[in-house]
Amino acid sequence: MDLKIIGDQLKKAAADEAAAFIAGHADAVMKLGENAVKAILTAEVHQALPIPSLPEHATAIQLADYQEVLTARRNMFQLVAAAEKQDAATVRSLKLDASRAAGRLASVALGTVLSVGLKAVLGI
Amino acid sequence: MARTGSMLLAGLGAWLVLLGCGEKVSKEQLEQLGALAGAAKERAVSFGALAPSMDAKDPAAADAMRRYVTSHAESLARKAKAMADLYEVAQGKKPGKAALAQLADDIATSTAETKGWEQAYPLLKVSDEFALTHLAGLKRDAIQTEGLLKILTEIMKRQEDKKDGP
Repeated sequence: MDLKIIGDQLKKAAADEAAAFIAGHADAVMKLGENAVKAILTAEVHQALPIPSLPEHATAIQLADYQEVLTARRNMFQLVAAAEKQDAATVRSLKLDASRAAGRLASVALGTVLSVGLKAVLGI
Repeated sequence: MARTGSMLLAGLGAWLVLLGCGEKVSKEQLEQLGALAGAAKERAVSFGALAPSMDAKDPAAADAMRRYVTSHAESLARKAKAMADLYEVAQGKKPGKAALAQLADDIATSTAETKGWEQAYPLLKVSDEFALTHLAGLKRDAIQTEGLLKILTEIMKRQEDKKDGP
């Protein structure tokens, strides 16, 4: 699938989800979360947030960035799983975790759709 | 890398079809999953307990290494939850595609985390014994998860062959 289409899907689902989240409507969040889930599944996290390469002698900052991308991947999968299970509490908790990570992801040269999409999902 | 990716997707596909068909995993596979889930939880708990004391050897790297340790601990906790969820799925309580996608992806993530830890632990104030045990555990998890996916892929293939048979 064209990466631009995936990016657009992510942004659309993200914007809707963020709006509902701010409004505090849990049901709507879950419904819109499902749409985000579909977009993420369509995009395939494997492709959308690839594991970056780790230099042979990485600096402490590179190691931290690398680990945070890996953690963000697991968060994304967990977010999808929680939304699928209608586990609103986990979704909310993960959104907070992910929003903290997303700020730092900007410094990681991912060059992928999800680095943009993730920020959009979180509305930041 | 591409081969690993294809294998993961093939494994994931098998899982999805397996559960989509309403087939249940065998007692042996359930036990394997239970063991994996237990090991993941144990690793997350033991790392989490030591994480606050894992300071950087070089004070100049303190902030970055704190970020690394915190994030690694969080990742291990996520993995433990994912495995527990999957175990629940396998018992037929709540099938979900997402939990299976997590399992397939976990192999690649665990392998990558192993590489990270290999480079990170020499920079941290942590005993060699713990560091090497943790390293071995991360490696073993990735191998066992991959093994489980292969078994389930094979089971699925046999079921498909049976369906297509005379």
